[in-house]
Amino acid sequence: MTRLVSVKDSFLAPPLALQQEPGRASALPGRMAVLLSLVVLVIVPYLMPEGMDYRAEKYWLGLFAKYMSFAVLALSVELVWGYTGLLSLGQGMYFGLGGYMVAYSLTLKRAAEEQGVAVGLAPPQFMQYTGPAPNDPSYVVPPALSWIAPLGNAWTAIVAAALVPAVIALLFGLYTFRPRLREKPILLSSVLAFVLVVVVPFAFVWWTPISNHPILGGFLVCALTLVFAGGLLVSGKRISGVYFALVTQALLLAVFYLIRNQQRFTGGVVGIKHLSDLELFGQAFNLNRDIRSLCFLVSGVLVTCYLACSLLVNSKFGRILTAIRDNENRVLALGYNTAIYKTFVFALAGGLAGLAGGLFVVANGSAGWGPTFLEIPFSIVAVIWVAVGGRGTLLGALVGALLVNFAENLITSAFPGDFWPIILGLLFIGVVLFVHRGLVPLAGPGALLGLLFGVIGVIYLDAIFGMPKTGRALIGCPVILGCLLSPALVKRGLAAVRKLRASSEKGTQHGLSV
Amino acid sequence: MGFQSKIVPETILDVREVTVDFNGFKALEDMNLRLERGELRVLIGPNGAGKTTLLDVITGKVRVRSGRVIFQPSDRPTEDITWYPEEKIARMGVGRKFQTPNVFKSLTVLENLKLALKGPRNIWASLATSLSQDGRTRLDEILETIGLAEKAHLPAGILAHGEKQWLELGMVMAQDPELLLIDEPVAGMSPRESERTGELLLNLARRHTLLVIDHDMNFVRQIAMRVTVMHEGKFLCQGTMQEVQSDPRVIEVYLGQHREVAHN
Repeated sequence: MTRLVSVKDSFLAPPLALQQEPGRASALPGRMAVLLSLVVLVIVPYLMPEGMDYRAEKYWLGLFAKYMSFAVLALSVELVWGYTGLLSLGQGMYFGLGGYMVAYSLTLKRAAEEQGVAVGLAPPQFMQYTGPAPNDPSYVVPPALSWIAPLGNAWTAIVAAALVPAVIALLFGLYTFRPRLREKPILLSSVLAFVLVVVVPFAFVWWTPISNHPILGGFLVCALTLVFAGGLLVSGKRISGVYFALVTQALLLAVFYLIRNQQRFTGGVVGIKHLSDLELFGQAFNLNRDIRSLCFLVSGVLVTCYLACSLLVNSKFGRILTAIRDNENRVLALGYNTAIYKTFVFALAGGLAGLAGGLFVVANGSAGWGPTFLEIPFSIVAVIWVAVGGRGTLLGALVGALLVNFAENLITSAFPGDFWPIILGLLFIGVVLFVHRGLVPLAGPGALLGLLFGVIGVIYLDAIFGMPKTGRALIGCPVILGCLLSPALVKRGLAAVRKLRASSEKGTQHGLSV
Repeated sequence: MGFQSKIVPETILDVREVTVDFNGFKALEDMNLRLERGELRVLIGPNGAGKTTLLDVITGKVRVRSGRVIFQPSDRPTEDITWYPEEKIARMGVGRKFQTPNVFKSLTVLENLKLALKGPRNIWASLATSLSQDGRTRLDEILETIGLAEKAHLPAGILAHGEKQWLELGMVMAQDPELLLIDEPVAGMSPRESERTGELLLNLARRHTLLVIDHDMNFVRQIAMRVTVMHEGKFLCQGTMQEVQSDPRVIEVYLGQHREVAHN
């Protein structure tokens, strides 16, 4: 029982931080290891086995590209949860919105290429447009198309992918983190609570005119969420802890329904499948034709985001975030407006998640984009990446995202079906129980380097021996995990040797003096 | 009291008729308190008298049902801070040391003090500025004063209890507020430590106005100029330690709880 309580405390309450080691002597090799692993991340395409089958190369580098875009999302979870202690179960929403921005752009381009008109004039496939063709004189641009037409420009789309989620996160943060000033009457809040908890969900789920209506369905849940947050405010509490997690998740669900029901604007359940290549600086990023430049694009963005985030968390701003996580009341008593700080970091993380979504669409290529990433499980899995990698360390986000996703890939390709979620759940429980600070604090700053060598090692094994998928999963997962933890083992081994030598020297000195 | 000077001492804080209601339980009832600039006032009272709640009201953490809190900063006009947000009250110059040590456990001792150091509190400043030379000197001074210079780079979470208390006092010093509210500064300290804490507070009182809550009567005797006694959310009486200890009402409310007050 005590164990359970302590787990709960350590997990729901502000997370325990990394113990910062004093002194620069120990920090320098760590920093070198991190830099080296970032370099490895960028040059991964050159580390593939010599003379590797083109299809195999495309497969593995494609995975790298996708998982590195997930790592950008993990960075955003890390900022919000790992550093500031705000458990957001809705980061997938910002990821998804960013994804739609880029997907619109690519599908507009594809439609324009196919129909031979300027970008933004041809209705893309997902709209299921059946009127006259764009070059027909009687053609009228459908309203849905005129809304998204500006995104046809790749740069606009990329800016929108970061900016739109950031603005939404900003508004959400302003609303949610706003401190209460006056106590409101209890009667009002209980009536509100009744309407929210009983009446609205009932109408939403069972009353079909509402639940099937394309706009009402989504908007009602949006309204539900925001008013729910409002209700909490009215009842005189700051929204924090579990309540914050619930509100973010509810908003995610709301936006998911909204997008899923808006077939003509979003492609509905199917999503946007008919995509062209992203083209920047005259260079097309295509999974099938030029996987390397795609890889460079994603890893470049990832490394840039990582460095920017590390500047941020190492500034005084970052210390204030950690202080808010440790003890928000104390930060308030020092005169910092914590609401503004939380809002700012939440908006920033929203933008980062949106950018990640946009990158993912590019990396996913012809597989297309759909609302799957706006479903609740994906956002929770993003939190698990960070929990596994380590909270309160940016490196943990990268390690967690890459490790969990490569493990998922190895295991699902060997054991199809619902086997992976069980493993993921066990992994999560294991981390919470035994290494609740995460793997990076355990393994040290060499963790990412170890992980990357582990993954590349598995790719080599696969290329040389051509293992069956089951064997690859059974050997690959332990190899990757072992390589990830190897820096800690090496460090411990060295420390043991040093200790042994010191004690033996002491012994001889002692012997001499006698 | 009784003594009237021609120069009326300036009021820094005026708590007027404050009532706080926690779902029917009146934690404070028509509480009045007036502090003069530069004084060191000690607030005592049996458990549940509402002392900490009073501090919560002044800092904006707990909202009043009725009444007002007036604050007079030295360089600005008087303001009614009753409904101000917590951080604004803090920025106006009200500092607080909490009852249990409230430090940022995953930041180092030095970082704790850096965050507290007087200066702009907005985001842009936190992103752009680095520590000035003056700030650096000031922090070194404080580290010396609170005796944590050697532990400056250790995480605050691993400090001993007494050290955390001192670190928090150091943070309040770095914040340099005009009015300092201190809740049980010597709780859990050894007699030697609490004596040192007393010296520290007396030192602080030369430049700041202090309102201190404490239970430890030896400690109160060491530091107090004037004492206010609270009981069941109300003002009971006020005066020097001698006056208060001989007041029959005080003896009555403390009887069986703090024998030593009645003892003297």
